[in-house]
Amino acid sequence: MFLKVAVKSLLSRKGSAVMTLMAISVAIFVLLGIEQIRQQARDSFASTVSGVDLIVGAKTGSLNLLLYSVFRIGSPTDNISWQAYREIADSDDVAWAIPISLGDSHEGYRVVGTTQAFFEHFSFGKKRRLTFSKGEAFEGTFDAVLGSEVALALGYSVGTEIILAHGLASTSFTKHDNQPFVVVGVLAPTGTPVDQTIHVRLEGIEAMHAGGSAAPIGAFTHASAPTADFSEPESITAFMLGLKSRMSTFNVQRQINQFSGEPLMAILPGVALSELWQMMSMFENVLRLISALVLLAAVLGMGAVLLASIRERRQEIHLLRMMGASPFYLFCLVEMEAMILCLLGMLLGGVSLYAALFMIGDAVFSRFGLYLDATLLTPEAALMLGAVLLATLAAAAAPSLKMYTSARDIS
Amino acid sequence: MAVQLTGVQFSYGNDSQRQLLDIGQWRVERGERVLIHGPSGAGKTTLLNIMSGLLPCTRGDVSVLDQRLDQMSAKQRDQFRANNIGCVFQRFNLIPYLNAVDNIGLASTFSSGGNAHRRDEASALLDALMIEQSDWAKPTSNLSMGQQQRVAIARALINSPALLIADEPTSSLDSENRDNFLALLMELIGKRDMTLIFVSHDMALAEHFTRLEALSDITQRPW
Repeated sequence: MFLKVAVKSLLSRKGSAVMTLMAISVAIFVLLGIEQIRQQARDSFASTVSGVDLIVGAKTGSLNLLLYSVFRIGSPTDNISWQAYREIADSDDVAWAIPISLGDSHEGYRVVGTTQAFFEHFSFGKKRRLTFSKGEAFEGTFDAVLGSEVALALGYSVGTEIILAHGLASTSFTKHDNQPFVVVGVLAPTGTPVDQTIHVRLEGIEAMHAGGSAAPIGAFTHASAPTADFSEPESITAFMLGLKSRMSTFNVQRQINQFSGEPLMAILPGVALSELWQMMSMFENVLRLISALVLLAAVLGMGAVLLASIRERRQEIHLLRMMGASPFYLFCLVEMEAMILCLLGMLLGGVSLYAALFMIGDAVFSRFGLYLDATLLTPEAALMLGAVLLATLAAAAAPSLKMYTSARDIS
Repeated sequence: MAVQLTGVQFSYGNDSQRQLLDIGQWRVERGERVLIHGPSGAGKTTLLNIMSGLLPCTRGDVSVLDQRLDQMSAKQRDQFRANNIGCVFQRFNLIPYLNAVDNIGLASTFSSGGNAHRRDEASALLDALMIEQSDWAKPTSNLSMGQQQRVAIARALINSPALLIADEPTSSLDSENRDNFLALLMELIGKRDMTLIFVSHDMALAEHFTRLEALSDITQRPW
């Protein structure tokens, strides 16, 4: 009966109740939505690289190594000799190795020289392998595989010829324009920097540089490129390792850090990624603060609406008191009305967020690589909703107290 | 004894010099039907509020149905009122957003008695008060004034109170509805052996009552 009275009472003030409900729903939508995006952004960030046990580069800071090897940001301090790479890649503990050679670009997109192993072993997210949306992996020296965003932004597809430039700017002066590469494959979106990268064979990079300085124009054609001559580059920028047993990770890391030939360092990508994310926690907190403030506004608005309604309810208060209701009963009645609004708001906000995610989830994934899944009720979200309920009770305390004193001091 | 007031004084706020009520001794026996009349603003409603326990008196003994209200806590008085006293007012006797049945049901939730047969009892009361079944589930704001006042009787009687307090319940009714209302009220009260304290300025109602009291006779005011 108590619940019925609270519900009917709200229904008798439909206009203000509906407006308040909408304000709370929007706030809940924002709160849960931001929480979802924040968590997914963190997750997809942390899984930019997965399945890779160690990343090896010339001695530098671990964040720097991570930034240039994975995110293609910043520049490497030094190269690694091919011998050192072979020595480590051939050691007993190593299952596979992906060499990476940086330094060229096309229209501002970075070019990475690598090997077939990249497509076989590199994974992201929850151990998701790279897949091709068009074409296939490179075979020939001047084959190129584009990340999804590169293909989309530049309008390239399989068969397009592209000219690479030395350095990073699209206006670079040194263009290897005698050596066009041919697009043979386009990768499916991953939501990682792979999307913004052009992948070619290590040999391609070597051949291009050699051709640019020495060979006459037209010396190499796509079909007749002498791959054997360039199969062993002098140096590479970094490489990724997969180990036979994860148990040996720290062992191998120590060996690499103490490598006698040249100064190398190995990092665990997961650890380095979470270190990097820590630096962005400021941004996370700002997002949370914004959603908390939106919620506060909605809850305070509800308090104001309820408070205004108490004045119109004097006769109702008097009647209920004469029927034997205590002032506390009336206090609880107002709190109950607030709770109903809050719970309905949660339901409405949650359902609309769920629907929104369901509808735009795929679009967000392909466009931003943000992998939104529809598990809204994470423990953290549940905790937040609990806090929302408490905030509602606190905000409704003002009108409830007004109700209480009106009921007590009846005359 | 239904009501016994001894040395009861009441004043609003701290203005103890101007007593609104000052009653030396006043009693109502069980089963009596008392009509209290007097000019408006004389303190009739205040007197009813003191007897119902809604207002604590400033000084004196208030005994209702042989229980001392002035010695009870506010919470005890609320419970006592729910269990033992029914009230009908001039207007706003029903929660406007609840229908007739729910209004009566709500009243029954405040009493501490068992709720087992309350639904049947509510139906019987509504029948006895000549409310059409089709009107039971309508929002009470859609009922006529006469219907609303009759539903109010059902609401006031649902907990089988021993004392019914009525504050100008007929003032908003036309003469036909007024006579109808009084006839039904008196019939139900007679069946239940209840005590009735009824405030009105309408002396024409006097024939229905066993006792007629002017408020000025009950209270001796110092000015």
